Parts: sequence; structure tokens; C-alpha cells
Amino acid sequence: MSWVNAIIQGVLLGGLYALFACGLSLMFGVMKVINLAHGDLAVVAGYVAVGVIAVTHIPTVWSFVLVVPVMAVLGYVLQRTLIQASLNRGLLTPLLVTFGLSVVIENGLLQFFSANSHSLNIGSLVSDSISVGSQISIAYLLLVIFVVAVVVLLGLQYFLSVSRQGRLIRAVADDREAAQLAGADYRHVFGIAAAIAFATVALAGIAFGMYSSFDPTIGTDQLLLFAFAAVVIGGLGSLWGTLAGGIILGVAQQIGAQINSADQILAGYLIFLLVLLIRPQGLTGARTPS
Amino acid sequence: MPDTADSALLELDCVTKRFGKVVVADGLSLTVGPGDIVGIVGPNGAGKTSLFGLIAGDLEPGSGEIRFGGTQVTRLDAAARCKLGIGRTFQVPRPFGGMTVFENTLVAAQQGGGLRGRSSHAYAAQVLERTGLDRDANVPAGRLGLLQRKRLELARALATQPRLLLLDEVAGGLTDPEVAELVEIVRATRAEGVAVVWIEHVVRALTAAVERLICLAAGKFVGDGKPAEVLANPAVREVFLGAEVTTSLAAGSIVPGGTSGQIPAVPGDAPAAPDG
Repeated sequence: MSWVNAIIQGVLLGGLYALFACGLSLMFGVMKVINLAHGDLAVVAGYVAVGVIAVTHIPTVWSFVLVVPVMAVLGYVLQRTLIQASLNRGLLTPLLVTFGLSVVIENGLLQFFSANSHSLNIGSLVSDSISVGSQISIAYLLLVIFVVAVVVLLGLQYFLSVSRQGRLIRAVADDREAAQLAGADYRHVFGIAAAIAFATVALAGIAFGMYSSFDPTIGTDQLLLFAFAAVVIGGLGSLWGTLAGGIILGVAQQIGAQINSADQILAGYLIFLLVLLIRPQGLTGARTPS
Repeated sequence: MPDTADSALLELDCVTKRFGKVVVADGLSLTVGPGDIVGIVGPNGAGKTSLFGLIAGDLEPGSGEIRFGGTQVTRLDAAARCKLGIGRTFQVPRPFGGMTVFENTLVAAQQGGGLRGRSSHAYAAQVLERTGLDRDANVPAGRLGLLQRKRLELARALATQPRLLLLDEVAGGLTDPEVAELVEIVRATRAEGVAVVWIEHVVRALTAAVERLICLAAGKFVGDGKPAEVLANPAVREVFLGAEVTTSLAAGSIVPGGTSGQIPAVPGDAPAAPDG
């Protein structure tokens, strides 16, 4: 039974990882930018939530109503300024720019909030759970996060497939010059895509802040790597894949923890390496080399 | 050929563009009136595609001015110029490969054409019918063959509702009957009052459709006028020595010099030029 429990916990945790990975996947898919500041931005969202709650006293659970739009605007602005300026200068420049952004954010947070860890207090919700039998208990919080992740990822996939804006984003992602000749201002479209990515990272940051404590360094040390692993396992450019990748990573970690509690993180990265070896294009990726 | 500034649709005024030491546009001045149909020929590397880049807004000129419909567009980007009514096709088709043919056209109708909702869907469908793509509407564009890709390139440009259509070698690589079909679409478009500027290596396809021909060589215009006159011009013939035009001339599909300057009636009656 404890194995079944490990898998269930892994799947639920995978939802959180997929939520982190969603924005990374989107920004890579559309702008071909690997955002190395992605994990730090989730942490920023966590701190913004701490600030918003302290100032407005809204319930923690509802903090996303303010944090998500703030992060979305930040995403649009960063894309139109810093990241846009780094495009068209080779593949390395955006990577370096987002790396620089990551360093600045991390040190800025250390400066303002110190290295002490924070968390978003949701009272008893954090420990409430449903028990199934004697061995399996499903935490409400993780279940809610999982549902949110599924809704966000599948909703985004649906949005990209059928909506006017979504189609536009796909066109620009496919060939931005050709999209311009079709009348699309690709810079604005990139901005919108970044805003969506930042909105999802805001949700992920808040969810993580409720689930665990966070500090300024956790963004790069853990969150970015988890998100990156989920995207690569699932296959670049597919949100379905990203969801699957997150879940696989979560399950691998929980099974690893089941074997030896110190092996949780290691087990996740072993699966990551295994996928890179056997199927480098990821689960859903096309076989063609890019 | 209206040449007065009042009636001009597109005006290039002494436009110059250099890439390092290479001059792709050397003080080019050009006027195209509404509804005009102009062909552009020239050897490889003459700057034909760069000229389109300058007009469509992919390239920014080093100096000179570009006006469209009386508006100064020299510093506008390609998306803004598209919205003003400049449509362009790529020499090598660049469809949005992951999207269906219909979606490709729909994006153009909604962005460049500024249409929304049902009217954009209806217009995209209409353009697909006009370009003979209606049966392929739901096919992913990445799976199309060359002719259908060329058609899609044309459909996407038409869906932006252009007043000026820039065609970059739509006939290249196609068989004669295929070229004839595309020429028919271009003619129909032009009949609706859309001005067309058309770069083509397959000269017979051009001469069948255009009323005015311009020869571009090393970033300069060396001939401008009625197709037969331009092709008979010694300066133009020198530029083309050993190239496609001389082949065509030798094949007798174009009557050079003196006479009435007869243009072959239907492309596809004569053997095709070897390449595009």
C-alpha cells in the first residue's frame, strides 16, 4: 500500500511541477527563449503574495487575484524590453540575459527579505487530507494544486488551439517574419505569450508557497531544475507533454523517497537522464532533430 | 502608367540599401499606380528580393523614402505596412507548418485584413476558393506539395486584403500548366483593382500578364517600359547574357525589337524555362 501511496503522492506533486514547467515550456515554444530566471520569478510571485497579503489582508488563497495580474504585466514589460532586446543576437544572448536576470532577482530578494524562509499561511488547509484506508492520505492542498495545474495546462492548450489569440501565438512561434507579413506585430504577440507564462509562474509560486516554505535561493536551486526536467521529459512545445513530464518527475521522486528518503531528488534526475538517453526529444516530441 | 505623385500608390524615392560593400539598392526610384501590374526581372543577386524587403518593411533603407498611398512608411515595420495594404509572398514558401491551410489564411485575414469573427472566417474561405485551396483547407500546411504551398503563399497575402501585392517568383519550380493556373489567379486579383509587382525568372509567365516590365541589375534599374521593348533593350540583353531571357528569345517565344512587340498569349504553350 505504501507504494500505491507513493505513486499517488507523486502524481499530485507532479501537478505542481507541471504548473512550474508550463511557463518555461510556453516561452521556449513561442520565443525560443530558455528563461533561466523562471524559478526565481516563481519565488518573486511568492514574495509578492506575502506583500499583498500583509498590505490588503485578503485571505491567502485569494492572493492570486492580485498577484497573477501583477506578474502578467511584469512579464509583458520584461519581454518587450529586456528579452526582446536580446533576441536576434544569437541563441546565447537571451540565455545570458535571463541568467543575469536570475542573479539580479536572487540577490535583490536576499537584500530585501534576507535569507530567512517564508511561507504562505493557509491555516489548517495545509494539513487537511482525505484518508483512504490506513496507508493512503491525500492532502487537500496538493489535490487542489493538481486540479488547478490540469485546468491551467489543458486550458492553455485549448486556448492555443482554437482562439484567435492562440492561433496568432502559434503563427508567430512558427515563423515570426511570415507572421509579420500576415500583419501580426510579433513583438506584441511575444509580450502576450510572456504575460501568460508569467501568470502561470505566479500561480505556481503561490501554490508552492502554500505547500512548502521558500527562500530567495530556492528558485534556481530547485524550482528551475524541476521545471526544466518536466519540460524535457514531456517534450518541448507540447503542454500535454509538460503535464505528463511533471507527473513522471513527481512519481519518480516519490518512489525514490520510498526506497530511501535521501534519494528523492536523485531519483527524479535519474529518470530525467534516462529520458535524455533513450528519447531525447521527450515523450511527445517529434523525432526530427531541430 | 500614371506617374503623377497624386495618383501614385507606391513611391520609392532614391532608396539605397547596402549590406557591407554590397549595394542591393542603389538610389532606386519607382512609382506604381493603383491597379498597375509591373514585372521585375534581373539576374540572380540583382537585388530583386531585397527590393521587396524594402517595400514590405523587412529591410530598412539606408537612405531614401518610401511612400504608400501618400503615407510615409519608410520607418514602419512589416506588420504595420501589411495593415496599410502591402501584401507579399516569399520566394520559398513559408507557411505556418503546424497550422492548417485555413488557419494560415485566417491569421492573415484577422491580422493584416483586420477582420473579426464570422467575417474573417468567411473571407478566409473565399480566398481559399479563389486560390484553389478549398479542398485542402483542413490539411496541415507543412504537408502541402510545392504548388499548393505557392498557392497558400498567395492566399495568405490575399487574405490581408492588399492594395498592392508583391509576388516573389510564384512560378519558380512549377510546370507550365501550374504556372498558367497561378497567372490566372493573379490576373483575377488584378482585375479587382489590386496593384501587382511581380518578380519572376520565368519571363514568359510575366510577359503574359504584365503591362510594364522593369529590369534590375546590381541594385539599379536598367530598363522600364513595355515588356517587349524592355527585353529588346541592348542594356537589358547585356545584363541577361547567357541567362533565361536569351534562352526564351532563342526559343522564339518573345519577338524582340522593332515589330509590334507581340506578347505570347498563353504561358504553357511553349516549353518551360529550365529553372526558376
